[in-house]
Amino acid sequence: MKKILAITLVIVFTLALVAGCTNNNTPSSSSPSQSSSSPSPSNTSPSPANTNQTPESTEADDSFDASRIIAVFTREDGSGTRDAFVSITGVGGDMYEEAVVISETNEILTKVEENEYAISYVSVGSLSDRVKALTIDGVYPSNETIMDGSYKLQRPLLVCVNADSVDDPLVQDFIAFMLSAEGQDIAATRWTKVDLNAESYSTSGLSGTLKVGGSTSVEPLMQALRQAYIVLNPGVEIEISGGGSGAGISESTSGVLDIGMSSRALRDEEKANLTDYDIALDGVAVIVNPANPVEGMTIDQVKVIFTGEVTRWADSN
Amino acid sequence: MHIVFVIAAFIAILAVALICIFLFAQGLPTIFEIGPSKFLLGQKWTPTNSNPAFGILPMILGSIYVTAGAILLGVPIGLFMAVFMARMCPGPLYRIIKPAINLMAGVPSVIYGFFGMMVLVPMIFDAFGKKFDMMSGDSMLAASILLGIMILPTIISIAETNLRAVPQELYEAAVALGASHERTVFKVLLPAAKSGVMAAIVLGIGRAIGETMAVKMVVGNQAVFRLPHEFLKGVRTMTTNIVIEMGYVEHGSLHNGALIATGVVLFVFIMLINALFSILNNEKASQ
Amino acid sequence: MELLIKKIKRKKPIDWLRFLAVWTSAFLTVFILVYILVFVLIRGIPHIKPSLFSFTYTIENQSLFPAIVTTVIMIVVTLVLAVPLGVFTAIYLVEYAKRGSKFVQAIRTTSETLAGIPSIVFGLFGYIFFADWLGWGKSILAGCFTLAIMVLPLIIRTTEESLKSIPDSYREGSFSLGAGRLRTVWRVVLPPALPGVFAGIILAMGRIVGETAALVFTIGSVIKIPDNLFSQGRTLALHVLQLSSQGHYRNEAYATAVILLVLVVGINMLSTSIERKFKESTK
Repeated sequence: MKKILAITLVIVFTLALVAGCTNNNTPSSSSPSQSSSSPSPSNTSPSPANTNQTPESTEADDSFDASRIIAVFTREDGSGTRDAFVSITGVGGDMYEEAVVISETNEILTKVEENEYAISYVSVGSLSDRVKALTIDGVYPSNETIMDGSYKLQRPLLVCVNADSVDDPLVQDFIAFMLSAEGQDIAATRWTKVDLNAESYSTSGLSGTLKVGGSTSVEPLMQALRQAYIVLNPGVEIEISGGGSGAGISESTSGVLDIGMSSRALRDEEKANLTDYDIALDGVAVIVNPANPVEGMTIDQVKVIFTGEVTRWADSN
Repeated sequence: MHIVFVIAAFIAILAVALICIFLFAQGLPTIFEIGPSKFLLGQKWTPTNSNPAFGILPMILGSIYVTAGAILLGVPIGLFMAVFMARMCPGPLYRIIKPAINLMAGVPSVIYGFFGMMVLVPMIFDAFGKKFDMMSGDSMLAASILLGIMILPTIISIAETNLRAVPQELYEAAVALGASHERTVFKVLLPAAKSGVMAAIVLGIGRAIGETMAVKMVVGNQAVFRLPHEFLKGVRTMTTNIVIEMGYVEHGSLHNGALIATGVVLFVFIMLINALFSILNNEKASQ
Repeated sequence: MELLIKKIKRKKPIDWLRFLAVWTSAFLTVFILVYILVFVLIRGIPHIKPSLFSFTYTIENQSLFPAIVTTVIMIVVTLVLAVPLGVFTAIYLVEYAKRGSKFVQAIRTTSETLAGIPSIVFGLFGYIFFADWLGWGKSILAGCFTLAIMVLPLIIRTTEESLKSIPDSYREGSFSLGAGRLRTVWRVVLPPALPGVFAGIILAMGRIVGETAALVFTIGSVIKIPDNLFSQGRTLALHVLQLSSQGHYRNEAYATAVILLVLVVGINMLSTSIERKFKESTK
């Protein structure tokens, strides 16, 4: 009898412990045994439809506490998106050292979606309604504002080839496709065209294999381009891998890749070994959690947050 | 035919020799080029600056803290669980739990990583975020908890096997002298299985220090020097440092070499831990 | 008898504490395991569609079929490399070598060392040696060789243990009938030890299926059915990783993770049943 009592005590005790950790500060939380028997605590709902979830731990709706620390998330050092971001905003090499380093686009989106006080940056082409993009200097990132340059945080998406590959007819043909009207139409689906008057593409019926790799921001665009190109040129196989802009540049230089993808402009020393082609324009959106009341910032406000000079939301505006 | 077996054994040794050679051949010269004290004790890791710094002390400490935390959390629970399975678990329950623990050992680290990123990190942030002014739940605490969970099956299965191997006579003798069941298990059987338990802990340490992908998603990855009491802040471990930066280093660059050198340091760490354990074991045996 | 002891002996308060500690840990451990499994299942199962198994990966349909094919190829090739090497080494250690010789010591230490190296270090080595120095590039072959070295100690250890569990009387009986050592090992000792060897192989399979860190730099990341061993590829575990890192495919990532889990559970159950058969056959 005592044993059964003890075991029941243990079970209740553990459940209460777990429930206590998952439902903090909620005045109207469900009873401990209920909340812990469901496998997903209510503040991490996975369904994409639930875009504006507020973690249960804050009360009601206007619960954004501006005295909280700004949760800065950044991409890793070799990311082209980061490179473009830090050079245009003026952050340069002084990225806030406490910023959490995330090396995948989707993880950035996840972190910002789940953290009310988060701020980060992503390629406009990867935006989703899980997060809110801010206006920069009053301008909202869109096809038009990127094309006319009013949205300042933008960078070219480009491909690069080394001296050996640049003469390869298959490489040239694929690049011609990227720059053709059809290719640019594909770019316009989520990014911005770089050439409004491109010519139409006609296939030469080439065949062979191409290895393309690099920026994860360019990768979705490249996948779409590849799919359309293969329909027109059935004898061609194109292998696309990721790895980041840095990898795209270094591996196309060394010849491991036929074509490298980068989401930042090449530096002078890199240009010495490579020929590059801009295939699209892309914006870098500064994103915050949908529950964040902030709608826009100036470039300077963004900069001081990412260098760590401003650390709380209350001081940011 | 005998020769074939010898050759096979030889190749096994060759594999380890190769690993040592290639890692050290690229890693050691880099360490000397950067300067051993600048590398091992340097606190700044800025490889892409114009004046690059390659200090990995923050990462070494990060690995140590996170592993220590994992051991603190995982060993007690694991040992108690092993005691449970060896001596306090009813038969039918055991037949379900034992395969379950084996399954836990086989779950791929990406899945643990998902769990950590989507459950542990928000949980920690909600619980402590306001009180301790945290930026995010990505912290040493999150990594320690996740790693603690991941090493549980290792510790449990080895400790349990060793507990079961203790001769039944010891148990019976203690009980005959008037000890209760629990007292016997804890005061007689566990100490008797001490070397096996130590082996379990060492293996757990090895697993924790070497885990990469799952840790990367929850630990924050800030290459910043931390003190132990800052466990609610994020840090970078040696393993995550390698994986994050390896993708974009230039071939043959100093940065590349620094990452391989980090691998060398990791390797040496594990060797030291294993050696320590062997020494402790030998001491016990000769007592 | 233990049952009597548990019931009869009076317990002091500290014994209840021990009891509590043990049962809490047990409950916590099982709870965590169940939570993690259900967590993945709940998010993944709703998104499993037959189209996930179509032959090619397109951006509209994130098929995981190429990843399954690659995973199977990896398992086969890695085992082909590691199993003979491991089993023969174990045979040498148990049947042929003089106990305590320096060579045996060296192999033991080597095996223990290998077992302790973190997988990322293997990945680093695999990249430097197989992909770079040998010039294979990021390829399935590089990945397989890297994984083969990684699972080698596992196979050596489990084969050794099952060989050692065969009583010496088998060997002595065979010798006394005039059989040579090779024939003894091959015909008399190895067959009853096989189930144990298989259990080890299956454990290795589990490791191969779940591995990511060692493959990230050695196998590349292209998602298609590989043409040959020098192509790049993506295993199921890597595919889960990649899907989760692209912005729009989170649900497919969970669905793939479920398939991965099912595979791992299947492998585990296989191993358990083989182990059980082995225990029975040696009684």
